[in-house]
Amino acid sequence: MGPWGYIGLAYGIAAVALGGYRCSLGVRLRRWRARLDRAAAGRAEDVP
Amino acid sequence: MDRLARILGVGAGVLLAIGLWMGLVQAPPDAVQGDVQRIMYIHVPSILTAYLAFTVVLVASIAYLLRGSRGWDRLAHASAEVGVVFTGITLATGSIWGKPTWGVWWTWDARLTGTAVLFLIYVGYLMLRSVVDDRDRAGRYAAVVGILGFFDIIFTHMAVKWFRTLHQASTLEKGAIDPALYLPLMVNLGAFVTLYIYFLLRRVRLGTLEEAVEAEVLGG
Repeated sequence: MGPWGYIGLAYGIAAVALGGYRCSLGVRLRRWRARLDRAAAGRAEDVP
Repeated sequence: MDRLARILGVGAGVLLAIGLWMGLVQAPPDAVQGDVQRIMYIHVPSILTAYLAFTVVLVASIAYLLRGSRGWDRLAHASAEVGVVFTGITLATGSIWGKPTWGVWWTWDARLTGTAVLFLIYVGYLMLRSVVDDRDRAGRYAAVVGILGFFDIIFTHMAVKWFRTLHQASTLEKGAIDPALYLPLMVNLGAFVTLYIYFLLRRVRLGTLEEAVEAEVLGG
């Protein structure tokens, strides 16, 4: 592998790690927002 | 806070694009290492950002043990998670840089070993948090690890001075870096720090949501 192969590999791994973490945060934020909405809706139904 | 995070996210993206162009196109190849030295433009900013993240863990952990506020614990937890991502990038890019430069992907050099231990300490920190059910207890245990773990940063950073290492000493500290290489490095460092703050705000928000759901469920 030439120098640009190593450079591509390093930058590629960094991009996947940062992009992957960004996506993971987005997915988890959406999931927990939905859970909070469901929990709040459930509590509202319990109120007579 | 969401609006600030969005602005920082866009800012980090723009800075990363500029840093990428400067590091891969505009900067000249290194006189000794040639083009492969361009890996430095992500390797060095990622470890400096990880150091920053773990310093925030240290400060937030001390504040949590002193004050007991959940906000400090959420900050420490968030910063540790983001710091682990940047340390992982440091290890991967360093290993890839090592192969054409030293002829090996990995060697048990003091700097490399210290960085690997740093990664494992904070992965352990996150695992510890996930196995203790009670949030306050998990926060206290993790705060102790977060404070003790910081000593490994001092060891890792000083390892190139204290031991005979294969890893080179800090070119930045020696002031021996050419301005043509220094500027792209600083732009990339700015991009990584902005990205860290963006990730941190999003991760703190996630922690707040998790605790709000728990409060809703327990309260209902």
